[in-house]
Amino acid sequence: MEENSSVSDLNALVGTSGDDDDMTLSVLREGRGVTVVVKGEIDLMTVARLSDTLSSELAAAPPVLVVDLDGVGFLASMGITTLALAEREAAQRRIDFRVVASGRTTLRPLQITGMTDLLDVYPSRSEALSAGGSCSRPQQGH
Amino acid sequence: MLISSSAGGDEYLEHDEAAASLGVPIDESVPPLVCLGLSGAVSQLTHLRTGIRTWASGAGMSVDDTADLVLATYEALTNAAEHAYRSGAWTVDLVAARTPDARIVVSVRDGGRWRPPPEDPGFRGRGLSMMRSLAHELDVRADDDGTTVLMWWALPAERQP
Repeated sequence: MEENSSVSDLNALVGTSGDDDDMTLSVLREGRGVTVVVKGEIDLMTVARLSDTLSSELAAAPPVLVVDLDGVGFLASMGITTLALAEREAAQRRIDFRVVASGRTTLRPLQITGMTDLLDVYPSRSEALSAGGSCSRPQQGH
Repeated sequence: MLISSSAGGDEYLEHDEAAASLGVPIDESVPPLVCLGLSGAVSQLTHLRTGIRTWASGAGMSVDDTADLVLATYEALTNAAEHAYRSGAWTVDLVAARTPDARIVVSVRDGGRWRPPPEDPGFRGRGLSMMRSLAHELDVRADDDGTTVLMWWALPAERQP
């Protein structure tokens, strides 16, 4: 995809400084769990990197995979779709998939799309990591 | 491409243009946000969020409604852009205005023909359902010239002038 042809024009006109790809990912490995910490904005421009990272962590099949969205300032539908696909993949691989979200910025999009019912959402990373992980929920049919 | 949210010398032109595009009267005291002929890189839609947020806040929306409007508008813009992107080019008009009855209206219009959702029904359907939940009222109009998404928010009573 061509991504940069008219960014500068628009920046000049709307007066914003341009960070093209405003998302950082870090992967933490603690005990049996892997945590992907996302900071910044999950949108059309950044979602592919999140998707790639989740795919490679899922492929390694840790017992617990946590996605920490607490540092996320914008969550668009493509990010929700990525989380839904990751949850499905995790269920197939018997991975306990958990999401950390506490603020309105992330909880609102998750709630209105019904994802708070589908995903295991925790208010903090420590609670997500310490929750009992040996007993996964029965799978909902799709 | 015309992008403007300031009350400059073309204020009346902007008002007329915005009102004509929206098909509703607009509140003259709040300069409308008019972005016509958006095209090219979809990354510009990321940067446009900042301008939309600033405009909505200045138009009297609450912090939570502003966040909802920014997300819903981004969904509409990316939906419209992606809709047309596969055919090689896209062009989208965004207009946001305050109406005399203290509502905010956002119009996102793409020039492409309406086609059934392609490979990605989950993504498209989820974006539309989010817009429906985030806006107080949503209206999608499709005709031979394109598709227009209209979204409405009522301003909180205490913020009305």
